[in-house]
Order: sequence, then C-alpha cells, then structure tokens
Amino acid sequence: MLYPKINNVEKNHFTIRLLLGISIAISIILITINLLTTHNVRWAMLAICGIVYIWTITLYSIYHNINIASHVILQTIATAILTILIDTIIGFRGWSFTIAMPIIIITANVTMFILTLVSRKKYYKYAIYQIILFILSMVPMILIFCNAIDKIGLSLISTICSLANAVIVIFLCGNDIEEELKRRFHI
Amino acid sequence: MYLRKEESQINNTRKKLDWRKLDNSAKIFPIASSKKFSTVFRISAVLSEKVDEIVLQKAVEKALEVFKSFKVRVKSGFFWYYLEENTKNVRIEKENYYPCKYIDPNINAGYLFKVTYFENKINLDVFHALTDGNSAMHFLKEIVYSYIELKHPKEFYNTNRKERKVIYNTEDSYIKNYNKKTKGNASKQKAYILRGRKLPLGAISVTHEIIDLNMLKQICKERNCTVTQFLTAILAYSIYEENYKKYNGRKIIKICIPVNLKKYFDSITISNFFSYITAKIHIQEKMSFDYILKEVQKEFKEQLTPEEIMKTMSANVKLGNNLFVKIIPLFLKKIFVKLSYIEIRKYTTSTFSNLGRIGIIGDYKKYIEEIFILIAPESVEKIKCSSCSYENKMVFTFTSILEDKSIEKRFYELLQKEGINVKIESNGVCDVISEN
Repeated sequence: MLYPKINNVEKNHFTIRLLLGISIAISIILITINLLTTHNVRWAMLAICGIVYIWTITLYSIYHNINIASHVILQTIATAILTILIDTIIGFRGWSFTIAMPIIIITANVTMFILTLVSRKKYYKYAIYQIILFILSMVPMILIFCNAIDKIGLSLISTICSLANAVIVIFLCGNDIEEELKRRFHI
Repeated sequence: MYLRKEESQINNTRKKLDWRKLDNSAKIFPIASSKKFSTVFRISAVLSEKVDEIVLQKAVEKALEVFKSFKVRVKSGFFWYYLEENTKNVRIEKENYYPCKYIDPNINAGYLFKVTYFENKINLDVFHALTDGNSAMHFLKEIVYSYIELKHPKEFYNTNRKERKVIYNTEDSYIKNYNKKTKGNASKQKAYILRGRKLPLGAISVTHEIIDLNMLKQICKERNCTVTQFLTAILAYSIYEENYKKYNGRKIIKICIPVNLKKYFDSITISNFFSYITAKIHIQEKMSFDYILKEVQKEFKEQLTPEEIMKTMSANVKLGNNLFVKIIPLFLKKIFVKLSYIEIRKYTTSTFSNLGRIGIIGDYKKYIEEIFILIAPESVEKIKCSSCSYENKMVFTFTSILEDKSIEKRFYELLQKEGINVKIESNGVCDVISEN
C-alpha cells in the first residue's frame, strides 16, 4: 500500500466558520435590541466594534504566529482604530486623538524598546516593525502641526518617546535596519 | 559530497541571516499560490523496508547540511518575496493527508518543503518557489542515501559517496542566459479545459501506471518517436476520447511539457531553471492515435530547438524584469497576478512533466524499489501528469481532482493495446470519498 487511507476531507476550518456565524448572529441580535429599545444611543455599535477587534487579533494570531513585533504593530493599529470608533460612536469629543492614541503609541514604543534590549542579537527580526512603528508614531505630530488637536501635551510626549526610541534603535542597530531595508525593498 | 559555491558570511558575534532573491520563475509562485493552487510537487522513493522515523529525521537534517540552500523560508518585501535563512529545526511527519498539499509557511516552521513517510515510502513535497523537479530530485536522493547509510552503518561505513563532488550555486540562470532582443512565441489560442464533477477541496486522486520501460522503449523505437512524445500522444488521445468528445469540446487540446534548461544552457544552479513547450492538437472529425502522435512529433520538432526555447524563456524573463512590473508594490502584484493567472491557465489543457531516468549509485539500488513524481492539479488544469524511470520501471502518474477516472483508464488500455505491460497503483481516493 503506497498511501494512507484519508477519511477527513478538509472541512475548511469548521470551528472558525461556526464561531464567525455566532458572532454575526450576536451582532444582528444586538442591533435589533438596540433599535427596538434605545435607538437614540448606538451602544450595539460599540459591542460590534469589540467583536471585530477580537476577530482581527484572533485571526492574525492564528495565521501569523511568527514574530512578536508584528503583534505589537497590529495591536497598535487595531486599538487605535477601536478607540477612534468608540469616540465617534459616543459623540466625538476628540479624546481618542488627544489621549488614547498617544498612550497607545507610547506603550508600543516602550514595548518595542524592551524587545530590542532583551533580544539585541535577534534585533534584525524587529527592524522592519520599528520602521513601521516610527511612521505610525508620527501621526500625533502631524496632527499637532495641522492644528487638528487642541490638547497637545500627551501627543508631544508620545512624539518625543518615538523619536528617542528611533535614535536609540539607530544607534544600537543601525546596520540591521540598513540591511533589512535592502532586503525588504529590493526590486 | 555537494559543495555550496556561495558560502554565507557568518558573523560570530551577531549572526546575520543570509538571504537571496527568488529566481525569475520562483517570483510568481508565492504570489499566485493558494490552497486551490498549491504549486507543490512531490517526489517519493519507495524503499525495500519500512521507514524508521528517527533515522529519517536524522537523514533529513544531514541532507540539509549539504543542501543549505533549502534551509530557507519565504519572506515578503515591499516589491517581491525573498528567501531568508531559516534557523528553525526541520520536522518530518507521518503522511496523513493528500499529496502536494499547499505548504503554509506559517505552520511548517517556515520551510518550503515537507518530508513525510508512510510504510516503505519517503515523500518530499516541494513548493515550486524553492526549486524545480530536477534539483529537488538531487535533494531527495541525498535524503535517501543518508537514510540508507544511517540505517545500515556497517555496510556503508566506508562508502566513497562523500568523495563525489557536485558543485552547485543559487544563481538566477534565467537572468544570466536570456536574450533581451528575442521576441516571444506564446500561442494566443485558448485550450480545451477538462470538465467533470470535482472532488471536495483538498482531495487529490493519484493513479500510478507502472510501465515496463524496455517494452515502452521498443514500441517507441518501432514508431520512431521518443518516450515523452509517445506518452504525450497517449495522454492527448485519452483526453480526446474520454473528456473532449463527452463534453463536445471545441477548442484545441494543449499539453504543456516542462523542459529542463540545464540541458540547453551552462548552469549549475539549484534554483528553478526550466521552461516549457506546448503540444497543440488541432481536433479533426475523425481522430486517430497515429494522427495525434504525428501532431505531437511535429510540435516537438518545431519547439524543442535552442532558438524556440530561448524565445519562450526570454519572454518570461522580460516580463519579470520589466521595470514597471518590478516597482508595483507586492500587495498590488498579488491582485494582478491572481487575476491574470485565472486567464493564463486557460491556455493549457494539462501538463505532463517527464523527469527522465533517475540514476542511483549501485550499492544503494537494492534498498530502493520505486521512485515517482506527482504534480498538484488545480481548478483549471484538473489533471496533471508526471513520470520518471528507475531501473526497468517507468512510473507515469496522474494527479486529478476529477471524480471520473476514465482518462486514466483509457491511458492504461491504450498502453496495453500497444503490448506494453502496465501495473496500476492508486491512493484509492474515490473509494474513500464514496464511502463517506
């Protein structure tokens, strides 16, 4: 006999499909209850944003379980979008830009800095994510320059943190970044 | 012993990972591949004894020390994917799924090949981005040789195999050899696409037709054709009789035949270096096998010349080397390539790849019974065929996602009719599915 007997033809991630179906059903139920009871407050949207956030993180973790730095970037982007959506849904007051986003960026920079320190010999693995984080971290600075936000305290701190992180990282691992850029941008 | 020409620069204080660009053919595979289009092929060796998992694991690790170029994973850049040294350990597994399954880099420790075993058989599944069938065969042979040496140390303790030197490199031989000024020769006629009920996603039926090589050669000699021409003609005729006529096909039947470019150009690369010719069979009202064989012979004669091969190869290289194509970001390339591949694949009815004779060192022959190759079929090319010969056996393999097995059956009957001894082995996939 040359081949094993295979009884389970691939079920296309049945569990994921089932959970996705349950999530959609919960979302529809929440919207219905929201519309039938307190339709002037869109609380169901908050819950749905949370569900989408969880799915994004979960699916990414399942399919990209390689590099911890990529998770930091994903969490930074996903949490920032989630807070902006929450701020918008409950009547935009701008706290997502003036408070939440700078805190997220500071946390991400500190995390990446710690990762760099504890695994310097493997830093080449994080170089591209440091570059992406640096670009993302410039968003609060752009908002300050465009006069798009009034309270600039935290945004300034986050920008300083990002610049400081970038300078330290370039000092410690500048060659790795150059090498990584060559790899990633070769044509 | 195999020596790698381009030794990696290893920094002892902080190890930088070696990396290299994908060769011109390989560029397309990570972009276009998916579960439905795995671009994976398998080479298997059937031994005369049951495979020992622990010994095989050691043999694979040993073979990887020789073939360091295969110790890589694919990474995405901004414009192209590239290969980077893989520091993780390779893991072999017991065969538990259909052959040529999509190799997900995220769940295979990043490796672009997979070694599995079942009873007496060692399988090497290879993602085409890594290498082509000829180079993969060298790797499988190294695994099998190492396995036999580890399993029978007394017999092979003084082996002189290690003294045999084969030098290879990882250059992109397409770029080195193509001609910028040569114009392409691609056929603009769409091909007949095989029809019929498909197996569920992931399932592949495998039919090996084990042919007596001496008898086959004798028949080919009588008909004044090569083995590849003869088998291509039988395949085309089987398709015509069992699928084309049944579904009232109108387009021409086109069989794609990969060509090993190392025979035409000076190259020792371990990366992909192949091109292809296409045998076009224009359908007439009353088709005979002799007519199809003549058509196939004519196509081979016209296309299997250095000039024509250069035209096909150069056209493909020029496309991949086009500055406009190069500077499109990878995420956009993925969209364009996936869309264009749906269309490109409509120009081939089926593929038949003949690896030719597989040479094995004398002392090892008694431990190896059969060697065969399989290519992953996909939603457009629903049947793909491959063959190779070892000793007096040629194993012609059908891999199919069609439930209907009449093409395979007709192929067998035609060989029998020619007076050639044929034995059939299969993975019995249709029986299993019907039981479910």
